[in-house]
Amino acid sequence: MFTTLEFCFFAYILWIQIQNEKVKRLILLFSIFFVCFQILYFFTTKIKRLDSIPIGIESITLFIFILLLFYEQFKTAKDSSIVNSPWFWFSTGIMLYLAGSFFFNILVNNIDKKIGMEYWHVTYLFDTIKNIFFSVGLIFAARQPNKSTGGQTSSVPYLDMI
Amino acid sequence: MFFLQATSSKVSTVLFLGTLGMLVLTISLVIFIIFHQRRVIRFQNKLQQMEQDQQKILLNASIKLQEEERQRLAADLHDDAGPLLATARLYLNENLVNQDKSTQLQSIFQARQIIDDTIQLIRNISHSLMPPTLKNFGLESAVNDLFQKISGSGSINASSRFHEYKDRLKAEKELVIFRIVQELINNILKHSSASFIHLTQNVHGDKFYLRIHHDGRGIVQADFDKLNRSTVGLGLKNISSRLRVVQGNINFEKDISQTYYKVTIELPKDEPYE
Repeated sequence: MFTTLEFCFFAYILWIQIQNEKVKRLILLFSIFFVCFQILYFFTTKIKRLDSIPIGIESITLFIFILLLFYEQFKTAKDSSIVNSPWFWFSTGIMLYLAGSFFFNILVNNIDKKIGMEYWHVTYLFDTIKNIFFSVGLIFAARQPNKSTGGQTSSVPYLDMI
Repeated sequence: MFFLQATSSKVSTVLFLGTLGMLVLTISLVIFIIFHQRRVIRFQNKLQQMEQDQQKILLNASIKLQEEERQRLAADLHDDAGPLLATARLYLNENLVNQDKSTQLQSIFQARQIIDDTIQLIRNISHSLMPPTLKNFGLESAVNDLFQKISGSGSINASSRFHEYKDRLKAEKELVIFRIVQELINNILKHSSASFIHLTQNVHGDKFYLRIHHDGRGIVQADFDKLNRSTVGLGLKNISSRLRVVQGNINFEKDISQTYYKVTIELPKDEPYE
């Protein structure tokens, strides 16, 4: 349940930031697919300590979404520094959180309970880092002004010699 | 038991190294993105700086041209009108009353001739500043008049055609366009050795278009941009600064047939002339 909510929340944050319609649709489709998979997994598999497989899929998928977001932001050059963008802080926060807890989440069912408890505390550190990054991102989001775009093209009319 | 412990310690190592590796990868990616973006910003700033320099060159060219125009005016008035009026004053000096009647009449006649010449001279200066045809009858008449005069010289075939110019542009805009056309024609006459010049006008939507064709040596857009950035080509810089005022664009190109050059001016068509 937590994994599903977490995935949907992170995917929604990335979905808001991404401008490309195709990528947006991909996120939406994969989120629906992931929720279905989670329901199926919940009813068919006996969870020992953590739902390692869905968490692994969640982490890899979110990593791909974040890389797509970074690629999109690369293509559209900005005047101001990337550090001033809220999306950068949100994405980096998610990435650090997933990177810090990825191996623990997929191996937790195979390690000793004592070691598991020790590492469990380490994941809180990455959770805290993620929350700090989210807070910074929210501050930058609150400071951002609203933007609007526009433009038009026209063809050259008849200007022949005679 | 030993096997289990060994497996547990192996998993623990994988967990530690894996987490460390993931963190290193993530942090490296973030650092790379930050530095790459900084490089992009620096490049953009450089481009912006170049654009500002370009604008400065255009402004300087415009000021220089204004100063040249003023100097020409001052020279015309000082060298031509000044001596003429001084001569007229000499004919009409205080001694004139002591002269005999025929000398008086001759002096007055001479002075009148000189004043007439001065009036004509000032009229010519005034016309060079603002062509009366343009002021009274609009851009179409002024351009047609200009082309007729060029064609009348017999050395080049010049013609113009306005397809749709029922609603005149604002007087200031007409003057700007006329000056640009004058500058372009002047350049063609000076540098291209063309045998014909043809001008066409049209409108499309909210845009006004003028195109000049000629069969001489010409320039393409890349040459125009290059000259605009350099310190030479004052006339072309003047065209750019005038176009900037009317928010217009200019495009220099060679025709597909490679037989003549085309210069297209595009600007927004505003409210009709009142």
